[in-house]
Amino acid sequence: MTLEGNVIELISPVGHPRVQAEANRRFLDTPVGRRVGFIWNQYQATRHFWPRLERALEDLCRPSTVQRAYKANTWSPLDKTKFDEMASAVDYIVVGVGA
Amino acid sequence: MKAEIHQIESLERFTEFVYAQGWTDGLPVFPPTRQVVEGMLGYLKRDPGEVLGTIFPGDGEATVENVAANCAMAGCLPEHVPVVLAAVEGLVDPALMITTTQSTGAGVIFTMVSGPAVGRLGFHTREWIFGPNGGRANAAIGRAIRLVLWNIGRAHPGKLIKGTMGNPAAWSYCIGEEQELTPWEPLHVDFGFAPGESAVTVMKAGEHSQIAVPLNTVGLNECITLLARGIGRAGVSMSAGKRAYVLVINPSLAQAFDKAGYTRQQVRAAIAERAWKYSYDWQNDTKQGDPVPFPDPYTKAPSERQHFVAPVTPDEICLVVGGGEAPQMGQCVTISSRNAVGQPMVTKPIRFPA
Repeated sequence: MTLEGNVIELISPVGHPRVQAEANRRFLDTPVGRRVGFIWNQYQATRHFWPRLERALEDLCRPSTVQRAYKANTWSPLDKTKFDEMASAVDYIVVGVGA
Repeated sequence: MKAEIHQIESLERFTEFVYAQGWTDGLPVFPPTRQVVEGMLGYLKRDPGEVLGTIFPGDGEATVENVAANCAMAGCLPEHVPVVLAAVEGLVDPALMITTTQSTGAGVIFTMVSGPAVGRLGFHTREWIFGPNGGRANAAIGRAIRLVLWNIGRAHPGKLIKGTMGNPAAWSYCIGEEQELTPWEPLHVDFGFAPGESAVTVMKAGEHSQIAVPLNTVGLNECITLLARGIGRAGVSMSAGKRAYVLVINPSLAQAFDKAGYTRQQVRAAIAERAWKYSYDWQNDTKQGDPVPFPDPYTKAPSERQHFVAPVTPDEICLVVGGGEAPQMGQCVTISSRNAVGQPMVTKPIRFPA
């Protein structure tokens, strides 16, 4: 071990998120009036909740446009082409994650 | 980014310090002293700041230096670190996408080492191959990978990972393929590497179950059926996506197959021919209340039970030799993948310093 002035020096094992990646992260100043997308997996336990969430967000944020993509099952990710189309057409996406 | 340096006054303070810092997943660890870590870096002859990638879910940046620090905490020798670095290269590979290991099902990373590195590093490959077995390479490398996920990936339960039950295999889940008693070429040859190379395979694993294959009473034909049933039994709660089944068979069983003229590939094909996953073996079928039946890409005509079946293909089976010899009794551990997106496993070459 390294003793410098009677101390032991330890190298941190922790990894920090990339500074550049953090800097590139975009933030939404407000969701109000923005273009919103909803991606929902139709998970059984959320079938009553999800429509209410969408309505509440639309009432609260009054989005300029709304896009919806409902997946056929819980597990498979949304088709990449569909996702890319939505991502390029909205300002933010609300994603329902089940299981 | 250069790793931070912390100071403690004495070794006696280390245990409390490391728990207070949150550097351990719960098990005791060794101090990652500057001297030990620099010894590893000197052995590697690689830039300590070399970035390997970011590790999910915390997206922490993995560098040669902080991986070495985790290796030091796990009790690795310097020559173990190239294996861990290769495994980390697998973990950050976009083809693998380790997101499912953070899901409610608590998948874990399973690591297999094959090739000359197994003997060179002294992996324990026989009785109690899955441990505990006293093998430093198995335990330390497995622990280092776990600590990398913990400290760099920040896979902390209740925060960034939501596994409901956890998995005891997550503490350390690493084996080396038996070399001397294996009748076939090393595992990584199946993945396109040369026999003389060493490689590490990392897998997003789900379930681990053992099945007895009584060589002395049933014969090889029935053994194949039993191995196929092992696949049917494993992976009951696995997710969608590409699948993989690792079958670790003991040397006696592998040698019996070899004596009967089977290559590794032929055994895989023979098992696959009899292995089926029925829809009721999957958690995502209509019985479980999902609104839409699971659209299995392998769906075939309904079976006699009028359920969808998902045949298993040879390329989904990975056959590994390891464990204790028992001429009268074959044994097989089946490990199913827990996957949703990406590949269930990737293999990377191990690069030892010249």
